[in-house]
Amino acid sequence: MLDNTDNYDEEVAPLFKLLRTPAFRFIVVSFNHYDLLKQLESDLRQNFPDQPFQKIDVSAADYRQISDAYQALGRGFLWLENFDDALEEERDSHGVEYYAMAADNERRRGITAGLNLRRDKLAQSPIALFVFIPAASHERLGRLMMDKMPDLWSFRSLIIDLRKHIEKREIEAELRQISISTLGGSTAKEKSNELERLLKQLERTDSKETSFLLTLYPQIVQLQSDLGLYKEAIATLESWERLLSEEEKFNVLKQKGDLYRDSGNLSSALNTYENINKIFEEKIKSSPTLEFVHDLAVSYERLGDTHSALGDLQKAMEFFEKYNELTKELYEANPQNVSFKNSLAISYSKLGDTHRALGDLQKALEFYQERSRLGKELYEANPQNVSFKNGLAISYSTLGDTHRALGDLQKAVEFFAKYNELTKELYEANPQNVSFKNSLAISYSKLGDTHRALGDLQKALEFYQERSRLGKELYEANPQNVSFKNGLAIAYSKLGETHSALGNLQKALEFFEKDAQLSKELYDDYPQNVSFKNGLAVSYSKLGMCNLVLNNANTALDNFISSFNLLLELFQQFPQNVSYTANYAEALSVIYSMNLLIGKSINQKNIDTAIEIFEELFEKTLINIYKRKLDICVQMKQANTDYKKLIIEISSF
Amino acid sequence: MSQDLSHYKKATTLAEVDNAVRFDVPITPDHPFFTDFSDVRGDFEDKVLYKSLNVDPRTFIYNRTANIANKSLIFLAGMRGSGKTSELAKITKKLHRPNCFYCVTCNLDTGLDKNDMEYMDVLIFQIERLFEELKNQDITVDNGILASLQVWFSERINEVNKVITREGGFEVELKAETPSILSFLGLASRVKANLQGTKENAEKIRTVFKNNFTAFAQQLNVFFEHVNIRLRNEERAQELLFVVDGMEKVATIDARKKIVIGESDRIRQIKVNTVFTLPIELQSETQRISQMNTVLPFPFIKIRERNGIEIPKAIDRFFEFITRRIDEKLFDSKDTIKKAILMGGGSPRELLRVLEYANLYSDEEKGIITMGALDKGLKKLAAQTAQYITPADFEILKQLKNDNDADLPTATDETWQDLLEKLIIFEYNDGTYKRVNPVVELSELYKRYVG
Repeated sequence: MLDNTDNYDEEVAPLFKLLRTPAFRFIVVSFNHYDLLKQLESDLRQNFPDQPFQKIDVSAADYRQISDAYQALGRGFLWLENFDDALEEERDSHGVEYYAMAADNERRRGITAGLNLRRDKLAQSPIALFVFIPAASHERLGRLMMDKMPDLWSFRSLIIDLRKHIEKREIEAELRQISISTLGGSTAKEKSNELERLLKQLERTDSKETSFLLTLYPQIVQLQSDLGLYKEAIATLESWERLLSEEEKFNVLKQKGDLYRDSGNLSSALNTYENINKIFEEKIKSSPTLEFVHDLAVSYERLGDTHSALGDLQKAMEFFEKYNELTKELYEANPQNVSFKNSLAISYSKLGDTHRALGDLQKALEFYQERSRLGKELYEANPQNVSFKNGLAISYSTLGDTHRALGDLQKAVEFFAKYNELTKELYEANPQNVSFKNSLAISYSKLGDTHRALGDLQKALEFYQERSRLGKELYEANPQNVSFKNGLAIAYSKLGETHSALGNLQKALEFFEKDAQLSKELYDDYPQNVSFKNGLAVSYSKLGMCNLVLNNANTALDNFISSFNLLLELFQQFPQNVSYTANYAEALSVIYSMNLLIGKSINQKNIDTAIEIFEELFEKTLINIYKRKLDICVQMKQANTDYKKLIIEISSF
Repeated sequence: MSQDLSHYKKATTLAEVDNAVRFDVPITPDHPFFTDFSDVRGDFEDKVLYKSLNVDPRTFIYNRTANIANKSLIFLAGMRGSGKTSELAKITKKLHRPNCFYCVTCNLDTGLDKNDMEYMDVLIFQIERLFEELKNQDITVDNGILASLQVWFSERINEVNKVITREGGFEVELKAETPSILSFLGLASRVKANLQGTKENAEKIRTVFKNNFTAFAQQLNVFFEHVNIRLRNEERAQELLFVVDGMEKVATIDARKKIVIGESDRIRQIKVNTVFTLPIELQSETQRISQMNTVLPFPFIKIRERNGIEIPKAIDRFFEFITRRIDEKLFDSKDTIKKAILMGGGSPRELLRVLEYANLYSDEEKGIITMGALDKGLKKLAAQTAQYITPADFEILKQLKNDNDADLPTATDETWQDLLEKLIIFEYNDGTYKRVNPVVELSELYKRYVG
């Protein structure tokens, strides 16, 4: 697993020492977050104000432009961003370079060959030449640099490897999207009516009419699943299964596993998938047909998914790697088979998800890029295929998420815009498809998040309003759908935050109250669901913060106490979970300070415990955020302190 | 700070060390930093180079009568950072005299600006450089011979322009000028500029000259020999010697092979003494190249024997190398200096890199480079170097270590070439003796895989 401990200060110290003497330098920088580059740029400009500074995006430049810029600069710092683009040539999934790629690949070759050949000329100018490569692939890219630019490489002055701890909360853990079919209409009422009709039909059908029954069962199961009636769907599956031969049971078993998974019964899901896996491992020994190999691959995928949901990411990774390996073999042996190609694309997506969950965003990005590349090929070869179009759209969404988590907001916006465009087309072409409508809603949410991060709050608000409108329609048409309810709660929360940032505090309060209400309903319905518990705690906390700013201190305290009680349970349930521990400590400090603010009696132990926890967390992880929170807690202990300011500050990051 | 050598002074404070250990600045023989390693490069001796050029290594007098019909064509093959450029500068200085050669240096990396270089580009560049020297040094040449060359050249350019015009493009400018050194220099420069211009024009020029290469070579050879006579008459030198540096930086391995091996026939048709630097990866082809020419390996300085025993003379020379640049009192002890030398592995550039890292991690308050700072710098350098080595590469390193421990030579093949080029392995003597880069040996990865 990647070591993502903050190391900025340690790594740049020798760099700044080196740069004291103006001279030619060739500096290779690998990084795992764009914030590090922003910081480095800021520090360089501050420490060397008389040195000219220029940046070039290598992915949009050729050697001549770089060379001219270098010569024109004469001295100072020249940054070559996205240098990985120059090192890796573009090919399709078969390794073929198409005409459209050839010109760009030649541009890339020109850059590396040119810089290498002109090494001695470059060295004549007192310029520090920085090249930037992503940390996840820096070993591979380093080898490529040694191959393509060996002479310039031999002149390297320094290699720095910048790492920043990436908070898991920066990676949005959205509730898994459950897909809804178009059977029976697009609203819950319509589907219920259709289900009722089919169940009556089933009752009336003679048990000897096996063929007819086999057409009814799949539809009934699907409708029950769409409506969230998982127990009923599983019972129907079992009836269905009884009509099938051993050979035919696989699909039904798979559906059963999926239903267990979707209903949250992960242990039963795991058992089911393990059975399927055993069945196919045996089948392949005697009859290794393509179909069986593919089914085995799918069983690995399901096992990976379930282990991931259970939190065992290492195990999930093992299964996804097997899935990837098998699908790659299948595709390479059968390059015309779009199903295999699609499975391969999905396998990359799963590997990306797991690396992302493990905090290795750059590695995740590599896999997502591969997924997207295959997705694009599939869609372009099969433009009528809605599933492929949707797959491509989702790949853009994950690319956007990952770039955002890495701090590259401009790239994130580009991908979310593509996601939005595709989902809009899908929804407009298939207005009955609830899943597409939901995806469109989510695309607005992501655009809103990114614009907010870029500081454009008005634009963010517009996107959130659109998201919320669609979310409300979806929820009202499908009130049993947990995912839609949760999505709407999140939409309200974001509207609340944006209005708050814009200073519209009353409006913000309204939305936080709506969010809290929905979150409470979700938690009450699913008290075992940890995500809902945490979500409710966060909702109360945000409500509390809003009330505090509006000077409703007593109400704020009630909100914070509600949040605290839930966070305490989470902390006790999962003492190893760093995020829950930190949130608990923060809640302790907030309660302590609120009591002081209002003039109520305090429990000194609260703040002492909070300090102790943050000290331990910082010692264990060396993450600066915990140090800052620790410092704030220490200030809270001092007399005559602005408690309101400190509460707002500790919750702000 | 530019590359003006007067800026490079011996460091007497820590703050000055960084400037003093720069390895991107080629040092000339008359600079205080210059250290002569010629007698400590193991099997390599520079007198072999001089003798190959028919120069007496004691007197530096060129023997024109020996082998009068042939000119010397020498390839100097060495690893990156071995000091080839400095060595060539030293050799050039020694040979550039009336009793010896008139040296014309051609640095391909500063003089040419094209990625997909071919031999024709190099040759045109050599001609341009020669004419620059003739002009700057006021060396007169016979007008008839010059006119013949210039007219022939101009006719070729006319042919090129006809093709360009037919296919649409910008012609090479041809001025109606009286043949002279200046006018020919202008013509050569414009041809060179076009070779570095559009790919289409470059191809057309190269094609025309290649199609007429025999005549071109004959014209040039006459001119070169005439210049030799002029040089003798004016008592400036006995003959021309071209020193072409930078061939190893040309675009790709395939492009380099194409020039050195693919165009070897054309290279040999040009009858003028020339020293080329040879790309390290082509050393495996030396058998093929040396059938036609002289290939001299230019190894790193040997500081240890195969069995690990240190070579005091080489270490002392490196001590001198360091103390010319850094005042000895900036180190806490001689042991620190020695350790740095051993970690450099016999490569001057790698030693400078070790010293740079030691300086970066040294404590400014203490004001000296301590063993602790050196170790810290080495640890960092080791990790950064080893991270690019694959498990398969480590297997090769393991084999090399075992062979060296048993004092046995190691048979190598193309798979080793990659490691040589990346300076994971260092080569000594004539290439039969190799060692793992000492910095790599320090890394945790090496210890894990190799032991």
